[in-house]
Amino acid sequence: MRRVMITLAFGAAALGAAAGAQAHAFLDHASPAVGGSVPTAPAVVTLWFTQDLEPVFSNVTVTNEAGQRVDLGNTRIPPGSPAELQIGLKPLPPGAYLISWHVVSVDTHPTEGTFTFEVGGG
Amino acid sequence: MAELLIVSRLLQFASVIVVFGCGAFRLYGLGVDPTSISANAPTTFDAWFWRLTTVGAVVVLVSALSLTLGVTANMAGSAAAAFDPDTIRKVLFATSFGRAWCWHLVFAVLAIGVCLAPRARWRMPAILVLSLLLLVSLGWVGHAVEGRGATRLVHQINQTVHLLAAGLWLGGLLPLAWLLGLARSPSGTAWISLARDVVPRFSQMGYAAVAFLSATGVLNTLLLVGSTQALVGTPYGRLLGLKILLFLAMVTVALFNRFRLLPRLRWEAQASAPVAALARSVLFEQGLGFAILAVVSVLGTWPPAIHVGVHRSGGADLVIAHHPVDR
Repeated sequence: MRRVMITLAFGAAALGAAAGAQAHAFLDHASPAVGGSVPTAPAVVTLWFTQDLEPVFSNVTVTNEAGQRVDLGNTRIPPGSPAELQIGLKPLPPGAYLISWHVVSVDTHPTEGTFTFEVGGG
Repeated sequence: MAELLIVSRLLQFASVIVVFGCGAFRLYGLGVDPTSISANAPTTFDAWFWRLTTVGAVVVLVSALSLTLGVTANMAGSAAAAFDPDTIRKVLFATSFGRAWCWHLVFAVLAIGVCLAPRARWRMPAILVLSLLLLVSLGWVGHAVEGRGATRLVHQINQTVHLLAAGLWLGGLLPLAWLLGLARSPSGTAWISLARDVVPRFSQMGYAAVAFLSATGVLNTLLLVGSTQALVGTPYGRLLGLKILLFLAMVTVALFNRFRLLPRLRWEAQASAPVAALARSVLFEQGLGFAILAVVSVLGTWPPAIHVGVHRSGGADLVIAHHPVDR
């Protein structure tokens, strides 16, 4: 019986190792909005997440249609808002931009995602 | 790396629970009424206890360290990161996980120190306190610290009580099995009268433990799963369901021990048969308990079902957050 139990236990462990491909900290909303369009170039991009983040392992980049970085590289978590991620932007001409974020929540799990926004009604 | 995390968690839980449960057993099982206990029982137990606790404390430290490596790899997104001193330093000192885990590592080192110290009266209270701290500090990391404000505080307190109850019950099964093993041996008749005293005390502790485990388990399920739909409809929920089933099986075995086997042990003149039956039953219970720990080891690496979902945030783009670790 004990051997059966131990086999079951390791079976459960193996099952766990194979599966478990879902996220912990989801992007809740963003500014500029996901897939949205803004009339003028924003100075910062702000992302709000469903979990508090670990500053040391969380970052975000913004690139233009040519794949060049258009952010200032100054990813930060505002003091007092541990579930927010911000990054400053260079002045942006009209066009489509891609935001790529990679964060680790306080429960140690990393998540990442991307979305686009547009500047200038286009 | 996921496998390293799961195995490390399992060894961590098992060793902390064993160290805590054995120490607690010494208090409620053996230490209560010295006159009813044979003179050399505490000494024999202590010899076994310190051997077991020394091994247990070493396993606690080693698995806590390998857990640190696993978490580092997870957070940094690559297995190689687990061996980079800079990244490990970042995890241990610049994350909320690490700041809590440092304490846990300190407690583990101190516990080994106590085990290796020369015999002295302060050793037993010291190891009891350290094993309590080790168990409690397990609740300072993980899913219980995810939320905010009042929810987080409630969840943490709930998780701490859950761990203590589990530590008492699961951890107590090992010394109980040890005692029954002695009572079962050919020269063990002196131990049978001790068993007749200690088993009811273990049962009393068991009632309280089961009550607290059930209550805190229900609250944990509400906080981490949130609905019956999620309980049956998500992998996390279903695995938690397996844990609940295993728990119910353990309770059933415990009730069988208490109401069928214990009376036989008390009243039958020829105690060897009920002692043997109890010993087998407790062994089975331990197997179930180990299976629960294995399930919990996996569960802690999955996102709680209450968080699972795909977000559609304003506009046409679908935002899917995915787990990049197993690249």
